[in-house]
Amino acid sequence: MSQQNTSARLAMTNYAVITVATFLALLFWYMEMPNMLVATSIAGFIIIFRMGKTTSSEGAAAGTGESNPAAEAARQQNMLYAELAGRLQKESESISSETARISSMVGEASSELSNSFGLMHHQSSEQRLLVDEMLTGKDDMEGGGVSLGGFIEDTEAMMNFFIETIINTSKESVRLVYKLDDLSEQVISIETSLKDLKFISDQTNLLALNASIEAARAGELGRGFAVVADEVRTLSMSSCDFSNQIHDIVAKTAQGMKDAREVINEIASRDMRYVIDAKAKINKISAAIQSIQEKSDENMKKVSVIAEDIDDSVGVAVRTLQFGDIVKQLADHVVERGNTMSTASGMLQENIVACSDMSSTADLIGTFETVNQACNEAIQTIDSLKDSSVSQEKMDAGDIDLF
Amino acid sequence: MGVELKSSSGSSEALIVISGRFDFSMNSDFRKILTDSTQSAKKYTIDMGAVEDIDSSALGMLLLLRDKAGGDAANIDIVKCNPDIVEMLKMANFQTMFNIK
Repeated sequence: MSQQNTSARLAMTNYAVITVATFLALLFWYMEMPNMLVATSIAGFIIIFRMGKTTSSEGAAAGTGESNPAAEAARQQNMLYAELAGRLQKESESISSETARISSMVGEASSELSNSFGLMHHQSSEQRLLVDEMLTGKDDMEGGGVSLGGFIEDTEAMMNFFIETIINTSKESVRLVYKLDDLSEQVISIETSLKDLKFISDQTNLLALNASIEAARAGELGRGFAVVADEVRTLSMSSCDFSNQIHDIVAKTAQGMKDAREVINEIASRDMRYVIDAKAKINKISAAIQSIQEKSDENMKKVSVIAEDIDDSVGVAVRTLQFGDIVKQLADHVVERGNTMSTASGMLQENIVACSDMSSTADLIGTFETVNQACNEAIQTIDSLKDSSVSQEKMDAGDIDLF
Repeated sequence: MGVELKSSSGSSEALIVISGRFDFSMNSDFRKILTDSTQSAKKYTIDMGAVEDIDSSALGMLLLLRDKAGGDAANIDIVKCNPDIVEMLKMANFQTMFNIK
């Protein structure tokens, strides 16, 4: 050791002197002082020569060390230790850095997944609200007297009402025609009476004529009677006119009743086939609407159930994400351990490298002592790691706080 | 084309046979049935085997017969209709008022 210090000091001195000498030489050359230049050059050469000697003396000193096989073996061993320590340090650093990456990746992924599931939960809740709205909305509609089923019933009732109306109209029309038939008979009896009336008025006319003739035959005495007879004739003729008029009216009435019969015929004769087709179509549509309605109800209920299931699944997922925290904690611990090991290995390497020079047996033992001390230091560093393990080892089942 | 009334010798059952197109033009023939003797008939059977087609006036006439036969208390069978006619009767709800066979 002392020799090392001595040679080190010597080397430093030599360097210093060379620097000064070079500086002076340059100075004298610049100042064109050739004598001084030569002097400083010579000084420089001497010093360089001496440096060589020092190195060789060091080499000589080392040479004595090389002739000691134990020291050599120890030196080689220490080199290997140093190399091993160096490798350990590098690996520890790698462990630390890779684990740190794991930690950050897990952290990022967990946080993104959390957000995503939170969003899914929110959307699923919205969906459930909508489905519930649809279901209750339908109830409101029915409560308010407006429902699809009610509409269908009303439509069918309307159809039935119209069909009933048609048939009733036909029935009453037939009855009406029968009444018309009865009226027709009255009309016929009027005609008969008119015939009688005509006969009577014809006879009256004849009688009046006879009376006029008799009155003329009676001469003066019959004059009054002749007037009466003429009056009677006039009356019977107007009676004839009147009965003709009545006859015309009756004829018109009969024609009117004939026309009425035709109209009633029209009214009463409704083709039912069209109505049947319409009713059949409505029935089909009603059935279809009903089945659509039922299917829709069924599906809405299914959707509601599925929405619940989604919520449950999302809950499980969010809960499971807790793993992220645990993993991060564990990873951070590994990083810490890695760093400690890296430090310890580094220290070990430095200390071993520092004592790779030795030249005597005393130094050999000293070297062993140094290496032992270095190892102890490293062990202590590692032991100083706080033993704080992650307490939670499993995921706990339980309720999740959703965001 | 026509309406025939056959009643089994003074008993309480009457058979009415209709043929051809049963529509408004039959109304006067049908009236004869309505006004005819069978006030005593408790059961009517209307044979539609030879009926080609009916319209609403036919249904009206059947209702008039039912009114005459006692309204809700009437016991009337309508038999041997072809399928179209059965459909029309059903659509008019006649199965609640007549026995359709």
